[in-house]
Amino acid sequence: MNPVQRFFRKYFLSTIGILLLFMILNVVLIVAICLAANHNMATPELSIRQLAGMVTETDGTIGAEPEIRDRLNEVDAWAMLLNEEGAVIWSEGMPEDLPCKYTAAQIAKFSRWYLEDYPVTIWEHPLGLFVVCYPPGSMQKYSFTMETEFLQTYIAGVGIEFVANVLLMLFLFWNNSRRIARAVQPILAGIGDMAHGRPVSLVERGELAEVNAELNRAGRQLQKKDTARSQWISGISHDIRTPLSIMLGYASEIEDNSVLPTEVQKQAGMIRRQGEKLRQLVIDLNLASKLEYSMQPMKKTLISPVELSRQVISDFVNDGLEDRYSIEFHWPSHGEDLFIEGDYALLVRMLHNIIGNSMEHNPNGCSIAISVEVNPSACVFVLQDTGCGMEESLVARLNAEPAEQIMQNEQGEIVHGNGLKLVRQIIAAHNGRIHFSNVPPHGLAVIMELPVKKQS
Amino acid sequence: MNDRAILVVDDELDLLTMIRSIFERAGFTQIMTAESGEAALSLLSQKIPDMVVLDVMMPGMDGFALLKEIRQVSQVPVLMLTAKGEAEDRCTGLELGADDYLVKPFLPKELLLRVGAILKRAYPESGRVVELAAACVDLDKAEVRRGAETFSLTAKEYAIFLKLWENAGKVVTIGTLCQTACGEIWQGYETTLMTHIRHLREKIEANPSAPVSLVTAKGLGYKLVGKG
Repeated sequence: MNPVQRFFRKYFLSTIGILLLFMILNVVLIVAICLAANHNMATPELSIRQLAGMVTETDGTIGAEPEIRDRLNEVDAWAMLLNEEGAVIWSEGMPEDLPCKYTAAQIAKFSRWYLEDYPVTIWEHPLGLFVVCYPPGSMQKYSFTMETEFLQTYIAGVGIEFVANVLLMLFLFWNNSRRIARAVQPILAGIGDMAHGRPVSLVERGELAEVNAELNRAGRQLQKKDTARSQWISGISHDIRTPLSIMLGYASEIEDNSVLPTEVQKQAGMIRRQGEKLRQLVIDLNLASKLEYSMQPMKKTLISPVELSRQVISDFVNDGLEDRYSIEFHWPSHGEDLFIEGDYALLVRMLHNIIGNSMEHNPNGCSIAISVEVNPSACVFVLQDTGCGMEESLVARLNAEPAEQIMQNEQGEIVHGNGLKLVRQIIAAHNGRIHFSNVPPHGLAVIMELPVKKQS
Repeated sequence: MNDRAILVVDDELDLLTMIRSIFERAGFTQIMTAESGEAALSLLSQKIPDMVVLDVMMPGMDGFALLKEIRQVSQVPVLMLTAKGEAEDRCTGLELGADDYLVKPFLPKELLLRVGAILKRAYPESGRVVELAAACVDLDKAEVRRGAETFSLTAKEYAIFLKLWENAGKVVTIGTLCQTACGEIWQGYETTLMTHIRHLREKIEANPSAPVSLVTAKGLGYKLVGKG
């Protein structure tokens, strides 16, 4: 799952979370409101059952406990007890203008609605019907009658509607997120391309056409700048080459001219050596800039890593390897049958630079061992020297930081040459990996992994 | 070899002077120079040299255009000098018929080695005999003379020996030697190469078990060491 999909999944899940939170909050609020309303009722609830229990018949006389009066007065209510014929056989606080006998129709009517505007509650009593009447306007009474089948269908329907609403809402959310993700995906891909220095070409259509067009413009601008920078470096390196040839040529001539004083020959030798360093720098700088701006066309061929290593080591030996250095080479049995796909010149440069780095940082000499190893997916070049190694902080930076930052200190000043930067760029261009480490008791190990080309 | 006529073409007068100086110091006696493609063509119309050292980037007629013109009238060996060093430039030059290329900046030693190798290939000397510690190898006859004995070299042994001789004193990798003997697809030929090397040693060494002329560079390849 890519970061954009992850983002939209989180967005979708958080939306569901918000909806659930709202629903729970609403239920809690409704319950809270009910409780608050109940607590603030103007007429405290009377228990009609308890009240009815207070009215009893003793020796043919109907009487009530004295407490019933206080309880009824508290809420300005009154009560009466009707016998089977509808006559009032006991009352407490009953208004005088109300009749003392009620027909069955009247009883049925007020038990459902009101008795002369008095809201009524009734309770079955052993002596008849116990009636409590509340002050007019203190209560609202509604009659609710519904067929059972209709009610069941209605409740089921409401449930289904609720679930359908939730599902529809989730679907719409999901669909919208997907649409936004689909619209944003090319833009993010374009930004990714731009970040990696690749050309950006987005279709300038749809609602985000303007954003796409802006990104295309920005991509073209960056590409133009990269091209200009690379061409500038290429031009400079080209212009330096001829004067450097003359410098190297005459310095070598003077160095080899035995007629001249030894001191002059030595000085010429120094100029020649520095000139050679400058030459290497120019070549590396040009190549590094071309790789950085993806302007170096890769000429990939099948390469034997064993023969490649032999070639590079032989070049060092043939160029006159100084006695203080030695290079050993190890390879696996049947190593010659192993192949990698890559740009031969670049891979030669990679090994050349990594061996050169060991020599440059160990001027007192060291032994260098190069080996080619194989694991199921990669061909591994390992360099191990017996030199002074590197500071741990630099090793950590070499392994972790982008190539261009490795060359700089905290102040942004260039502190290392382009050699290792180039090695990392070449490895990256071949989809490989590189790892630096110090080896005990002293020395440096560099592991370079490149994908193996399976032979068909 | 030093009496070969070499034409050097470059628009940079200082570089031209330096190259002439390098050649003359190395003993070459017939060095001609031209500062432009047109001037070079004019010289070529009078006399075809034994070799041309040609700069690629020149105002007017560039090195590639001049090479095309040269190839229409002559197969004279050409070494291209390029300040660009891009693979495309090298390929273009080689495709047009250049024999080799040298990227600027170069050391005099590199220039002389390249020119020497091209001249050696283009104008093989007759009666070439390679003197080794225990034997002499006659390259024309493909024969080894060791004391009173004479051994013939097989075609593969000859090809391997020639490659080692062209790079005498230098390590030639196992892959390069295998490629010389059997072409581009050489993988799996390493054991056969060792057999050829063993046979060569039996012919050129006094003691093949302790070789002094065809020595092994451990893990890398082999090196031919001349007499003395």
